[in-house]
Amino acid sequence: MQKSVFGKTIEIIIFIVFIFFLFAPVLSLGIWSVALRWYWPYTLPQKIGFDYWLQALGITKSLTLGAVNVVPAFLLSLGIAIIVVVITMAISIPAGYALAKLKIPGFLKGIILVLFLLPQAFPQQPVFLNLMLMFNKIGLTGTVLGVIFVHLVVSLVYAVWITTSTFSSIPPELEEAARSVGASRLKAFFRVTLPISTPGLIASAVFVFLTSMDEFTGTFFVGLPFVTTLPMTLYSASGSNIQFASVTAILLLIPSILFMVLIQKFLKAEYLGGIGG
Amino acid sequence: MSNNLKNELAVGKSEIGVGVERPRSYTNILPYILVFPAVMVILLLYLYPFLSSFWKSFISKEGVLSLANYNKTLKLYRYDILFTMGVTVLSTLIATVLSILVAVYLRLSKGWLTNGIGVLYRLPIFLPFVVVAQMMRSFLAPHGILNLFLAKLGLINIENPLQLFNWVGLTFGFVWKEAPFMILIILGGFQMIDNSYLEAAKSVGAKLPQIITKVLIPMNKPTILIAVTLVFCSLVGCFSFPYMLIGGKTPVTITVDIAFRVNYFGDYGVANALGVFSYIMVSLSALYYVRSMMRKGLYD
Amino acid sequence: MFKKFKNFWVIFLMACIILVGVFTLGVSAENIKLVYMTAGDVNMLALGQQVIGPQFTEKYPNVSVMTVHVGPGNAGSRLIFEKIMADKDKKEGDIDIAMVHQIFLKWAIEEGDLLLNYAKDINTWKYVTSPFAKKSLGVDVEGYCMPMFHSQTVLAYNPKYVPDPPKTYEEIVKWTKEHPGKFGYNGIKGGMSGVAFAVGWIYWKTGKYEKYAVTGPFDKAEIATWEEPIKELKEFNKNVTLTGGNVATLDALNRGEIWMGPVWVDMFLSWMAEGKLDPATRLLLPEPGMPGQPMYFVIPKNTAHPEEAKKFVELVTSPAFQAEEIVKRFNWYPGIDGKYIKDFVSKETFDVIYQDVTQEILSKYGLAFPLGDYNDAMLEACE
Repeated sequence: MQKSVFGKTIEIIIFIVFIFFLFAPVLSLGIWSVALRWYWPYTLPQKIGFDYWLQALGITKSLTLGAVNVVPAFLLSLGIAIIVVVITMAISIPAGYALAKLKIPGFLKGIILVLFLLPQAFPQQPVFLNLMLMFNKIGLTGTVLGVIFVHLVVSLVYAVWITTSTFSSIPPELEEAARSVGASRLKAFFRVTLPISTPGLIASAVFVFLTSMDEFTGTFFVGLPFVTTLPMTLYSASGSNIQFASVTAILLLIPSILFMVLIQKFLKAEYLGGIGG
Repeated sequence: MSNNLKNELAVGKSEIGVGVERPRSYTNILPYILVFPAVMVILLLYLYPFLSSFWKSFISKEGVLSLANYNKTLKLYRYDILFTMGVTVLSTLIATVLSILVAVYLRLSKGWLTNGIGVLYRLPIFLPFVVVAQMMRSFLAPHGILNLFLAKLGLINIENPLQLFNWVGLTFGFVWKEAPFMILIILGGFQMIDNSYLEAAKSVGAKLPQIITKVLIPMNKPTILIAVTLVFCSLVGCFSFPYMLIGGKTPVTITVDIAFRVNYFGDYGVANALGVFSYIMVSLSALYYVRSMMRKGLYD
Repeated sequence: MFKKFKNFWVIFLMACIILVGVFTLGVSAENIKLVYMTAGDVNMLALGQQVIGPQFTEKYPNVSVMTVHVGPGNAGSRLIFEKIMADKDKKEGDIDIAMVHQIFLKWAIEEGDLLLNYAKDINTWKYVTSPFAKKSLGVDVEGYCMPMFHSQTVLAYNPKYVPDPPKTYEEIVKWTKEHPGKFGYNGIKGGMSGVAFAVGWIYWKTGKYEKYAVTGPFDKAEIATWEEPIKELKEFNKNVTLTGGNVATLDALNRGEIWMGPVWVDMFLSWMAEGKLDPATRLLLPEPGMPGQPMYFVIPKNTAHPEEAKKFVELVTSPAFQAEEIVKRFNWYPGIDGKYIKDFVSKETFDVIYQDVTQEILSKYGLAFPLGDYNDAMLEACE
């Protein structure tokens, strides 16, 4: 498409507006995380420092700043997220394959897919409270295993929906070609389908990771009192101690953004194109 | 190497009896076996508490089966229910239009600017809603960054700033967070459309708007529908953002009312009844999605 | 292709190592572990982790304290209630001590059989004279709780913009007419500071504080008498900025959007210490008064370590601790009677907490929240 000078100027203006709306909110987070003294009418903090960062990383312990060491919570969130990714992918890859490639009646497929949508869609507080009561009876509250189960439930939607779409976008001829030269279904899957779909599967894993890192409501109910993840720390600081909350929020951002940079090539939008079928 | 593999697979074949004993019934069951673990997780861990909450909404304070909770809900929160519906629909609509425009731009345009946007737009996907809520509170406040910026540009008077702690700010935040996700998915669909279709359209004289409405969107309809459904459903259930932005003021979304009902009154009857209204909203949209997918014959 | 799988396994292994590491860090060598669950703000968590925990372990070396934080406001207390309820039938519950708001006690006593009646067994009971220790929102709680500290709602105002602040509710109404939008509170949802203001309004308009908050009984007919005051409150609301909650009001003060609003003294002081409020900001308690509430220690009935839990509460309610940590460090009102603390604290420190709102004003205008049923009725009526 040819662009005139006018067109290019418009493009640049839109780009600037876009950058502003995209990054300015994040900027406020960054400023608050180092603000030691900031109130109206000063547009920027009067005093800045890394005190809240030091507190959050457990390097200092001062009581005037309401902030605590978040490193254990951070590591726990990370560990749980990784385990959830592994388990979720292990059960979603077969499920996605079945829904995409194998013979299941249309309406059943629809119902199954919508089933996975439920946990994300419905208001979480009443349902997860009941889940907590259920888990309490079998002793899963306050355990990491219980929290892992909760994360499984909410991230399955991304795992199943995206793997289904990834597998549907692979032309059936490829697998049939493999089978026609004598490969079994299993071999065809591992040697042909899986390698091609890897980028889409990785995209799915990324979303599961994000969902697990960010999961709050269910973890809150099931995890107390012994399991504290980073979103829980963020919630309990939310608003009241803006500086500490900002530091925690940025810490929560870091693994996610690192993932984004690392997996950049896999998130090529082409691989998600098959979502519609 | 391949001999070993052949042997292993032969053993595997006879173990599961593929192609040996009864091929037809096995292939009939296989899909269900594969789907079984995932479905079981949801049924056990989610469906039971979900149904329990549904059931509790019909139990009144006195412990009898009645619609008393629904009466109270409609009396006190009728406006909030409509508000939730309105904001969610509006946000989804704006996000969809915006995403389609940006996806079209990214699909058709070239250059460093385009590539830059193509990478940067993804940022909000990686931020959890709690963080977005926190940011938007500072950004959208009457004396927050947006208003200060507009005041510096002379567009508004700082003594009379934009009041954004309401449905406007809520919509802004929702669109900010969800549009990039939609762009990702819709753009993926657009990428699957080969350039030859676009060339063909152009060669019969189609202008840009027509290319968008007559070629790109219809060919990508399933993907767009998926994006819309996913986003609509996650917005309906969102709690942290409306809670932090609007908090105790009215009108507010159903999720905040649920929290209020539980934390100040311990009233689970009304809380669950409110939940049911959300369930209805989500079911309608999910049903619409499933039906339109079936009509397209995509699940046959 | 298999290289990618190998990476998967490497990450999986790393995850296991991280988790194992995290959990061995958590396993302590001590014999007994007390679980202390607290509502309130992050400074409660810091207090528990960095002050109470270490001090307690210093005194009783075979006991460690694990502090868990559930979040601010009623939501935090509600979760603690849910947890203790869920643990009810277990032989040994997970929680040993909890720090909660008043409304928790109402729920817990009404439910029954959830809490240990311990207060009279510990030796700091004799220091408690506040009526709040015996009745909370009209429910008889004697023995089930010990106040940790007392908090009061007050009006915070910025004297730079408000040189002559209104001192009664009447004057506040006049002031908001002259300065629309400069007074902010959160209505009756979202935060107890707003609820306190609204409740104080009803006390003022009806004059029936004694009946609603102290003696009772609950009389449904009273609800009708609130129609006028609530209509007037809604009129009043037209000239004010409605905020989203306790924090939103403080936020608005921080950003200069409002010049005056009701706040909790302890939250106000924390924000001041964290540099988020103009040091010139002052406090006042308008006539005829606004409610305050203490935060309490409770012990679940089925705790595994009742003796240690009692000793925990004893430590925090001892005059030395109250003087050093509650009054001196945080400038909060003590949970035990002030006269027992005077010996442990300098006159200056003692005076600081009563600087703006003196002890006489506090005793005259520091009210209580209404009795349970009146409380519910008022909240619903205002909706």
